Parts: sequence; structure tokens; C-alpha cells
Amino acid sequence: MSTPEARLELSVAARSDQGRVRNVNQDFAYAGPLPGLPDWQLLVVADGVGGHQAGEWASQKAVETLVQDLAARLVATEPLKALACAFEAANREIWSAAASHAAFAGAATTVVAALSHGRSAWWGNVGDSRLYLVRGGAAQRITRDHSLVEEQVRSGRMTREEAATSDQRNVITRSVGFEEAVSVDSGGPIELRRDDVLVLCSDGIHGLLSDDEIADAGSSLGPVQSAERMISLGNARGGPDNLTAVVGRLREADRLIDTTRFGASDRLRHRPGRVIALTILVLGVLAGGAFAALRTVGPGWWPL
Amino acid sequence: MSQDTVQIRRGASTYAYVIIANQARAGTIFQLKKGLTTIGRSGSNDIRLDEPSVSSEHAQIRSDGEKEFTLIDLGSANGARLNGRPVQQHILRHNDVVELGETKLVFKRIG
Repeated sequence: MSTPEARLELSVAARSDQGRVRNVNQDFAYAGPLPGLPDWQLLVVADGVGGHQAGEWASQKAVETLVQDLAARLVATEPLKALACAFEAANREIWSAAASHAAFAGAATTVVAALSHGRSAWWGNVGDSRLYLVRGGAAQRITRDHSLVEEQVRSGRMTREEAATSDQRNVITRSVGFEEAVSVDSGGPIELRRDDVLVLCSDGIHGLLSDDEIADAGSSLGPVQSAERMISLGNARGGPDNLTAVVGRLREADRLIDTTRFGASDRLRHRPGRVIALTILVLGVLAGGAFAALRTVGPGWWPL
Repeated sequence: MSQDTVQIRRGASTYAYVIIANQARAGTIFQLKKGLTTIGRSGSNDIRLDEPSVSSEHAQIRSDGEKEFTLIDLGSANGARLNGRPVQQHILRHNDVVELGETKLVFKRIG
């Protein structure tokens, strides 16, 4: 079935959960194609800060701006430049709202984004949400956290072990919307291989799961199951913060619909009445088409 | 990022918005105005939802000063639902899900 020429596509899923302690979810995420540009996929995780729901708004506004700005800009702009410009547009939106509305004072958000076209992926990052590349069962951190503890580790003033338990590990040194200008880290293209997995997550996930656990969850399952696995692991460890995971896996286009979710192909193949069962399955998929699409290949906005 | 370290300034005004939760415009944020925000399929609405199940003038969200935001169905063909239940008029709370025809909007407020 698989040939070297098989068309590869990024199959994506996004999941977000409030966790066990917080009473609001200030994370927001998107995974899916850009409006009007079906060949381009965007994966974003944003983790908002600011009291009285201002952080929730900031993460939603950042993701909305990224999707709309990239959709408009990519036609005429290189991906890396387009990403940086979209981050700057989100920064302007949030900063200007915070400057003019008292209710938004202090509203800001982390943003990590990956943009893919064919086998190539570009990324941008501000704050302490992360992008990993999971390849061959190992997770590689692509982004660098803009956090106080990460800076102290890098300058040799703190060990990784101390950083993991520091009470300052939530302090970020850069965010989108907090100041008039923002400095965006970006990179790419990463040339993706078949079965490579991109994982984007908020600190509610990477603060509780080791890189190896993220690699395990990311590489052994489909995107939906990967994201849900990370969230359930985090919640099993107390879920002290909002948990958000976006997962994209490069695989053959004909496997884009995540059949594992419906318990389809393999089991049906060995059963009598296979045609009837398949017909029912197809009708079911058609009837629940929009829902199924959201559950598997997006576009998905979470936690909406 | 975990702690809300920033204090909201004294006398902070309320800011309310809806975010579209499904269909083509999912993820889009609309600020609600003081007074009246109109929602419907026709271009004259503050929030235009170009979906067949939405009436041309479908609903309004009215705010009295800064305290309350009230959803009002304008006798639309497919009606309005709030968290799954049909309503004519109802005060909105943070995270309420408003359905106009097949379009879902989530109400959010800050402050």
C-alpha cells in the first residue's frame, strides 16, 4: 500500500483541559488548515496570563490573529517572515487592548506555533509553551523556554534539577501582548520524515511529563489519542494547571482519517456482514461528518 | 504559566465578547457593545453570521451599563438556545453557549 511516492500529509489534533485545580481554562489552541489555504496547516498553543479572564481572552485573541494574519500574508510572504509578522500582529492587538481597556490590564499570552506545507515545517515561539519534534521514539525540544529558570540554567546559575522544582518556574520572561514590541524566536524549515510527530504543549503538560513520556505518547498513537493521553497523564498527576496539547503526525494522505478512533478497518475485515458494517460505518461517518472531522483532522479550536 | 501576578486596575470596566465555536468563522472574536449588539445573516448586523440557519435579524445582546448582558431572540425562524435550551430572553454568564440556528457562540466576559 505504501509507496515511496505516497503523498504525505500532516494529520492533526488539538485538545485542551482545565485540569483539576483551576476554575478557568486560559489556554487556547488551533490545529488545522489555514482558511483559503488548504495546503498549509497551522498548529498553535497559547497560554494566557492576566486575572479576571483577561488571560483567557489574550490566548484566544492571539490564536485568532495568527490564523487570520497568516491566511492573508502567506500568499505573498516567506513562511518565516510571515510567522514573525503574525506574532507581531497578535502582540499589537493584545497590547493595544490592554493599553486602552482597564479590564485587560496585564493581559498577555505565550504562543508557540508550527506551520507546515508538504514535508516542511516552520515555527515561532514566545514564552514557555513548547514545540517538540518526536522522531524515532525520541523527543527533541525545538523551542527554548523564555522563562526565568531556563535563563538561569543556561547561564549556569541553576541546574536542571533545581529548575524542575523551583517556585519560580512559572515566571516567563517574554510574552505576547505584555509590551509594545515583542521579540519572536523562529526557525525552519524542518524537513519532516514519514511518521515524524510535532507536539506543541503548554507548561501544564511539559511541567508534569518528561520528554520521554511526551515522546512515548506522541509516537505510539494517532494524534487524537496522543493529545488525550498527555492530558490524562497530566490530570492523573494532579492537573494543577490548564493542560493543552496539539499533535501533528506526517503520514500518508489516505490514512488521514483516524480510523483507530472508530475501531474500523482491521476488525471489520475478519467479520461476516462486513459490507453491512462498512455501510453503516460510512453512513455514520457521513452523518457525523463535521464532528468526525473536528475530532480527527481539524480544523479544531480548543477548548471551544 | 500559572500565576495571575497582575492586579486589575481600580474601576476596571467590563469587557464582554462572543467567540464563534463552529462552522467557517470558528475562532472569530466579536466585542459586545454597550447598549445593543445585533446578530444575524444580513450585512447590517454588528455580528454577521452568513449561515442558512441564521435569520437575517436573528438576535440581540443588550447590555445595561456594564453589569448585565441579555440575549434576546427576535422571533427568528430557528430560534435561540442557551446551553441547549430554547430561550426568548436570558441573562448571559461567562462560558454560556448560545446557539442561533446551527451556529454556536460562546459568551465571555472580563472583569
